[in-house]
This record gives sequence, C-alpha cells and structure tokens, in this order.
Amino acid sequence: MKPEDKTSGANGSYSPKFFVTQAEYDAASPEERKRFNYAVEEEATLELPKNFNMPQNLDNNE
Amino acid sequence: MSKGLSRAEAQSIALEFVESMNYQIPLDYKIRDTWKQIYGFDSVCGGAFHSAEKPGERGFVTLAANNHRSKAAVQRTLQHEILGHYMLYTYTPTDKREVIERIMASQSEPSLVDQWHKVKHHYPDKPLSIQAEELFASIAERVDITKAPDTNSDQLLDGIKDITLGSIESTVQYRLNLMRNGQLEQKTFPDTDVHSGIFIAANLERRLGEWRADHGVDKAHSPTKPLGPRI
Repeated sequence: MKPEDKTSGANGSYSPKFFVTQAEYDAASPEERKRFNYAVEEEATLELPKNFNMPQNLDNNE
Repeated sequence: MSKGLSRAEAQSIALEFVESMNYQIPLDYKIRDTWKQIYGFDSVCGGAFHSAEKPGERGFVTLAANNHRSKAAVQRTLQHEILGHYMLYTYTPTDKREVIERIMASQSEPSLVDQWHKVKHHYPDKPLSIQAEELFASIAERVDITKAPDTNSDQLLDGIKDITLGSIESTVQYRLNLMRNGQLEQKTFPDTDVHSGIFIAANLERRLGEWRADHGVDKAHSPTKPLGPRI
C-alpha cells in the first residue's frame, strides 16, 4: 500500500508526483493515475537547473 | 543500435527506485520521451536534478527516456542525480564544502585515477569543485543499492586521512541507508551551495574575519596590505 503524501521526507514517507501532460493524464487508466500519483503540468520547457553541469563528449546511455 | 526506452518504461523504473528507497526521497519526477521535450533543445543527457530553492519546497528529477537503452541505464541516471547530487545536498553547506574539498584533494589517489580521468574528460572546463561533485555522483551511480552498508559512519566526514574509491562508495551506501530510514533531509540549497557565488563570498568574509582575529587587526586592514610602521 502506498504511503500517504506527507510534506517532510525526513519525518514521514513521501509519495512522489509524476508530472504528465493533460493528454497523458486523459489517456491513463484510473489505476495508472493512482499508481503514479499523476499531476498535470503545463507543457512548457524548463530551464536547466542552476546546479546542473552539462557534460561534454557524452555517448548515449547504454 | 537498440532504440531508447519509452516514457512509460522509464516511469516504471523510476517508481521501482522510489519503492526501493521506501518512499523516503521527497522529490517528484518529470519524465518525457526526449530531452528536447523537457528543455527545448537536443541532448544525449539522461536527466537532471532540480533542487528545491529553499526548505519546505519540493525538488524534482527529470528523465529523457529515449536517451536510455536499458533499465540499468535509467537506474544509473537516477542514482547519479539522487544518490549523487541530491545526497550531497543532504549535507549542511559547511559539511558539503568539507566533502567536496576532500574529494578535490584526491586527484592522485590510485583507486580514483579512472574516475578523475572520466570526469575531466566530460567536464573539462568546469572548476575543480564541480568536477569533484561530478566524481562523487559518477561513483554513486554504480553503487549496489541492495548491499547493506559496510560502515556505520560517514567516511568522508569522519577524519579518514585519504579519500579512496572505497571510502566514497561506503559513504554513499551509509547515507542511502539513512535516507531509506527517513533520517536525511535536504540541508543545502542552490544559494548556500559550495559552488555558489553567495556561499563563496560569505565564506571569504568568514575567513577574513578569522584572519583579522588571528592577527589582532581591525577591519581597516586587509591581508594584502603590509602591517609595518606607517611612514
């Protein structure tokens, strides 16, 4: 059974959200929405996080 | 060449990882087929960790499913971002600085030669502190998370003289065990990170204060000015 969503990872467990598009949410079954705790998010592209380091000379992940 | 995984496949693997961590990692997930769908430009990168900006907020991890050709590849990306970068953020800013500085001092350690070579190949233009963080994350991505920790302390903080590949692996396993038991939370945020300009400036001010106290000088003097008699 999935734990309830709690606000603090240190004091309780956390059921993460999986952000999906409205189309993906609509296409998913109720079981899938619940299993993955889907949350609909606007489909705007993100900026890279400020702590992200873009690697060079990278091969595709095997 | 085998094709990449689908969003649905990568999502299932991510949920398995969450389950293996006992739902104790307070991060959300944004998984798309391509990196371009997430960030608007093409890349073969696997994913990224977006930190919370301050306590009480929630960070998240992105994954570009098509850039992974196997379940193991997704697992490595998750471990890199979460057991690497997020885990370093569960240190206080001061402790993270100490960990990073100790890793920076390990460039001639024989057991870490391969890792340093790879990190310098992938991040050639980055400062040494960033390369040290990426070295930690690259080791974290290959740690066996099913293995019990072989130590009951943080090897990177507990006074061991020289950092080795083994001591970094042991630290990751020790801390992921704490994470699974809900004993870790994020304590460093981007503005308090050892790599941030704000932290560097604050740290410099602190060290300047210590220098002044050690030398019995007031704020009017700077370490660059000689303290000889006025002429």
